[in-house]
Amino acid sequence: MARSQKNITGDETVHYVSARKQREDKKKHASTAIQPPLTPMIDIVFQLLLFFLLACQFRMDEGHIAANLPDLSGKPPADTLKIDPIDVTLEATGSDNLDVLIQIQSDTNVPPMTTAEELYVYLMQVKPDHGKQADDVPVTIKPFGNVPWMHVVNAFNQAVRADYKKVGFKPSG
Amino acid sequence: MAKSSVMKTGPANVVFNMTPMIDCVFQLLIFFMLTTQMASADFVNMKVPKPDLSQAKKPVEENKAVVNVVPYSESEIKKDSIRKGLAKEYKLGSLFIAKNNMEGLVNELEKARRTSKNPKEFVVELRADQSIRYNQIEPVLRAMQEAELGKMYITALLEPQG
Repeated sequence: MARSQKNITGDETVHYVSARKQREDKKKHASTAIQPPLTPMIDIVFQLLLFFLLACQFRMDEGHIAANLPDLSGKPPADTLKIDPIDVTLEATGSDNLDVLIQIQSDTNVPPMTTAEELYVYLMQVKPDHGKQADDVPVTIKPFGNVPWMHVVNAFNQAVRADYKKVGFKPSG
Repeated sequence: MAKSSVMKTGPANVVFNMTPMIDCVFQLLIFFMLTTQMASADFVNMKVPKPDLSQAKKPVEENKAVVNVVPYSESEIKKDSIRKGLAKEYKLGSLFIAKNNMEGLVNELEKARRTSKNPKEFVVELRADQSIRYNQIEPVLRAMQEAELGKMYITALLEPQG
């Protein structure tokens, strides 16, 4: 028989406690695990997640290019009369009119261009010819009616990129 | 009934560990909540032009109105291919304007300018799909001129950074 190792002090008495009783006591005094009901929260979270997954549309980063609208009063500003404008004509080509042919109406020596980069190179090349007034040279873009908007914006963008300050549109041919 | 290998007397208590799943779900939820841009009346879903080395600048909040040149949807073009490159209608703010109602567009632009914070500095942003033909956009430019607007913005994609 096992001997008790416990030292008895004061009024304490030794009681035999069975293993079963010990287990029961342990169960009785064990701290109760309290858990909040997670199910409704998970339900809501899933609903929200589903909503955002279905409603989310990633938008490309948009910006804007500033442009001036011509004055409809009829009289053009005096300074623009002195400088010959660079007239850029855009013509739709290729299947479904998806390509573009760029022509410089004001300079017939220039061969037709097919890319916006070529237009930029030309605009940069002619800049020194205008001396100090180079930035004030009006650039007018005249697209044909069937030219897709992307080519019109691209041509406009190249003129802005070449640092021309007066870039505008002309009615379609 | 399955017997537990530890507690030989009772049934197996199978618990599905949900913690990692809830962690992931919360991460996803926070991501979508932060990145989602709610539909705005000003922006119609379309592909705006992406010029080579775009000079477009980030838009700043100012007194402006956005004119959307609304294209036909893919399904509408499939039904009738003649619609490709055509504008369906115009949209100024939350107001839809029929394509042939140019007078209505001019009136609305004038109204938007008059009621803006600073009518002298009022700007209209022209937002059109890249495939729309120029002759569909030209009437809007003319309407802007008639509404006596001096300045406009053309919507384009920004040049990717880096």
